[in-house]
Amino acid sequence: MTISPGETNSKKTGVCKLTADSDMTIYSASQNHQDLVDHFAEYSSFEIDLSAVEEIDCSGIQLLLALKQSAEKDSKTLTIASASDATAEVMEVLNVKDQFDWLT
Amino acid sequence: MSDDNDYLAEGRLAFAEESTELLEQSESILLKLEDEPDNEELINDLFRAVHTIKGSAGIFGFNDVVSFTHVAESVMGMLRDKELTLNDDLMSLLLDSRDQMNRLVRQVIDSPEEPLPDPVKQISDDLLLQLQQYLDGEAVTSNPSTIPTESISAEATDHVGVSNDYCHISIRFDPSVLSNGMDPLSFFRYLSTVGDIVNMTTLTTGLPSIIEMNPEHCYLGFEIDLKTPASKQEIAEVFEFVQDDCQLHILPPRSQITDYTVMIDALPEENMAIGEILVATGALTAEELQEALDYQGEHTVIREVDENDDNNSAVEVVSKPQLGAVLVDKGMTDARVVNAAVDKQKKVKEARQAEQQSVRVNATKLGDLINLVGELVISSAHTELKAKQTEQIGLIETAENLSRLVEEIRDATLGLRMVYIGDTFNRFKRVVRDISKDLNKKIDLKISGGDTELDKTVVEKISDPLMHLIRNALDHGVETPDVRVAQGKPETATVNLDAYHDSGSIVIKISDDGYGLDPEKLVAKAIENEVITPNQQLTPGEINRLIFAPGFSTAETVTNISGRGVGMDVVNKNIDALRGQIAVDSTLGAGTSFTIRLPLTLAIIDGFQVQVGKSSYVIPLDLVEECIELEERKTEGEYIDLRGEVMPYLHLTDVFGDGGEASNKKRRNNIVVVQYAGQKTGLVVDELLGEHQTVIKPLGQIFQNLKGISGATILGSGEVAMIIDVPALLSRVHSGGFDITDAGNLH
Repeated sequence: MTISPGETNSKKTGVCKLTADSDMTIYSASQNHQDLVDHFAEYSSFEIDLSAVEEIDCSGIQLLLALKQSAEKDSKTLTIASASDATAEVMEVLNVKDQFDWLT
Repeated sequence: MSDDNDYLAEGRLAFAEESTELLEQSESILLKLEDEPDNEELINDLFRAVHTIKGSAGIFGFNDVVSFTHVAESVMGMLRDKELTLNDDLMSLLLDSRDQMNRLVRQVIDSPEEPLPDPVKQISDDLLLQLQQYLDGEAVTSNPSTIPTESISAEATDHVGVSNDYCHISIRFDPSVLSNGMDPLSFFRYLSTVGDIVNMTTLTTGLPSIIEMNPEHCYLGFEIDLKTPASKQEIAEVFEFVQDDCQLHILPPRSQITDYTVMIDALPEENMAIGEILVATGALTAEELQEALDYQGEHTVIREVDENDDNNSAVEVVSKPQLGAVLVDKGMTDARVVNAAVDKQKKVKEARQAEQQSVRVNATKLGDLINLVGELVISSAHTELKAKQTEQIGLIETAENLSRLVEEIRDATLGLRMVYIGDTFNRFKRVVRDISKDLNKKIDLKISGGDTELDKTVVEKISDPLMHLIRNALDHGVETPDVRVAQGKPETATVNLDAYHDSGSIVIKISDDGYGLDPEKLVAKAIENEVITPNQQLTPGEINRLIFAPGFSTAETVTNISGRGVGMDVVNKNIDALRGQIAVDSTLGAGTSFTIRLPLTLAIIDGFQVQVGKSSYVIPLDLVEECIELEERKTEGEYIDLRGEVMPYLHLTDVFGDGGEASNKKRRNNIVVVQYAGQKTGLVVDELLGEHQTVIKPLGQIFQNLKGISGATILGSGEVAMIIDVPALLSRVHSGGFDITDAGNLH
C-alpha cells in the first residue's frame, strides 16, 4: 500500500510521478502520508496516478487536498493523471473534483 | 449497538446536568430581576441561559423543549431590547415558563422515547398562548420612547425566515473521528438516502500543510444543502453515531436569520469566511448574511452616542473583532471607537472567565480522596510518634515538617467540599414568593450570611428540613396583612434566614415576626395527643419543644403547604442525624425563631486530647475555650466561679466511670472549659495531652445509643481514643442528669 515514485523522476526537472496503490483509506493513511512527505521537499511538480485505487475514504481525499494546498502554497504543482471509478465517486460525493488540476 | 446507546446516554446526561444548572441559574436571575427589573446585565444573562438550553436541546433533537424554549426566549429577547417592561404578570409567566422548561427537560431525559404526557403538553400550550400574546404585542406595556428604530427592524426580521428552501447542514468533525473508525463519507452516503444533496462544500481551511498534518486526524468541515422532506430530528439521526465526535448544526428550510447567526458564531472559521460560503452555496442571500451578522453584533453591542454625528443618531459600535473590522473597512465607524469597545468587551470576558473557572469532580472521587487523607493523617501521626522515640533530631524535624504539610493537605481537601450555603438559601426566595402569593400574605425574606461555608453533604441534607421550617413560618408563623395591621405590626411580614459560624459549628437561624407559639394551645394539644399528662408541669422551653413531638400540629386548618403534623419530628431527626441540634424560641405575638447548629464537617476535625484514668479522649478543639486548674477548695456543688461567672463542671471519670483510683492519687485536676450554644461548661480531666488531628471513625451499631461519645479515632500510637460528643454531654448535664441545674439557674 504505497505511493511509489515512477522511473522517470528527475530532480533536475523537478517532476515527480507518483502512483497510488489500491488502498487509500485510514488503514494506510500513515504510510501514504509518509511517502508523500518523503518526496514533497525534493520536487517542485507532482503528477499522481490514482487509477489503481480501489478504496479511498475521507482520509485519502484529505491527504490529496493537503498535498494540493501545500503545493500551491510553495508554488509547486499537483496534477492528477487519472482516477479510478472509486476515487471519482468519492470526489463526486464530497464535491472536491474541482479543487484539483486534472491531466486530461 | 450498546456502545452507541452508551454514547447517547452519556450525552443526555451532560445535557441534563447542563440544563439543570442553567435552569437553576435562570430562576435565581428571575428572582433577582424582581428586585431590580432594570438590570440589563441580568436580562442578558437570562437570555443567554435560556438560549443555551434551546441550543443543546436542539442538538439532541428534543423538539418539545426547543419549540417551547424558543418562544420563551423570544419574549426574553423583547425584554432585552426594551420592547417590554417587566411587571408582575410577566414575571409570574416567565417563572412558570422556567418551571415548564424544567418539566420538559426532565421529561425528555427520563423518557426520551415517549411522547409528551397530556398534562405537561397542556401546560405548554397554555403558557405558549400567554407568551404569544406578548410576542403579538397584545399585552405589551412598552415604553415607545426608548425603542430604537433599528431594533424594531431587527426584531421584525427575527421572525422572518430566510428564503432558502433547503435544509442547511453544517458539520465539523473532531480530529479523532477517523481513528475512531468512522468515515464521514459513509454519513454523507447515508444522508443522500434521506434527501437530495443539492450542495456540498468541503472546507479545507482547517487543513495544515502536508508536512505538519497527522494523516489519521480529520481536519475537514462540510457545509451541505439538502433538499428533503425529513424533519430536523430525522436528519440529526443520520449523524447519531458521531454525535459526540462532531459539531453539528442543522437548520431547517426557511430558518430564522438569527439561527444562522448562532451557527455562524459557533463555527470555528472566521465569520466572514463562513458567511461567504453560505452565500456561495445559496444558503443565504447576501442581504440575509448581512442581517445575520448585524444581528450578531446586537448580541454584544455597546451603544455609544456619537455627538458629532451629522444625523445625530446612535452609532452602533460592534464589539466582535471580525465584524468590527468589517465596519471599519466600510467606513461605517471610527477605528478607535471600535478598539475601545473591543478592549472593554475583552475585559468583561476575562473577568467572567476568572469567575467561572471550576472543574466538575465526581463526588465519590472526592469522598475517596478524603478517606485517603484521613488515613494519611493517622499514619503521619504515627510516623511523628515513632520519630520522637528515636530521639534523632533530623528525623523528628522531618516528621514534624511532614505532619505540617499533611495538615495543610487535610484542610485543603476538606475545603474542596465546602460550598456556600447561599445557593440553598436562594432557592427559598422562590418558595417564599410562590407561597405568599398563594396565601395572600405579604412576606419579605431577608437572607444574610449566604457566604458561610459548609460541607456539601451537610448542605444537601439540611435543605429539606430548612424548607420545612420556612414553609411552617410562612403558613403558620406569619399572619395575613389585615390581621397584622390590626395588631399594629407592619403589613409586610419579615422572615429572616441567617447563617454564621460559631465556635466550630455553623448556626442557621430562621425567624419570623408572626404569631409566635401559644403555650396554652401547645399544652392543650399535647394533652389531647397524649404526649404529656394533664398534671405534668413543663418549663416554657419544654413547652416549645413539644412541637417536635410526632404528629403534632396546632394549625386549625390543614393546608397543602403545611399543617399535617408530619414534619417537625422529622426535621428534628434529620438534624440529629447530622450531629446537629435545633432550638426553638418564641414570644407569643412577636414571632418564633429556630436555631439550628451543625458541625462544620463530618470527617476530620482538630481535636484536643486529654487523659482520663487510663483512657484517652478527644474533645473537638473548636469547642475548647480554655484550660484551667481545678482548685480543691470545693469538692461539692460542682460549679466554680470563673471570673465572676458561674460555671458548672463535671468529672469525666464519673461520666465514663473510668479509672477512679488512679485519678484520686494525684489531685491536680484540670478543667477544660468548653463552650457550646453560648453556654460554658467545665470538663474535669486528669491530664492535658495537647492538640491532635482527629479522623472521625464512626462507632459500630452496638454503640449507637451511647450518649456522650460521637465517634472514635486512632492515635499515632495505634490506640483508640473516644471523641467526646460535647453537645450531647452538656444536654445530659443540663437536663438534670447531674444535680447541677440549680447552679445553672443561679447564673
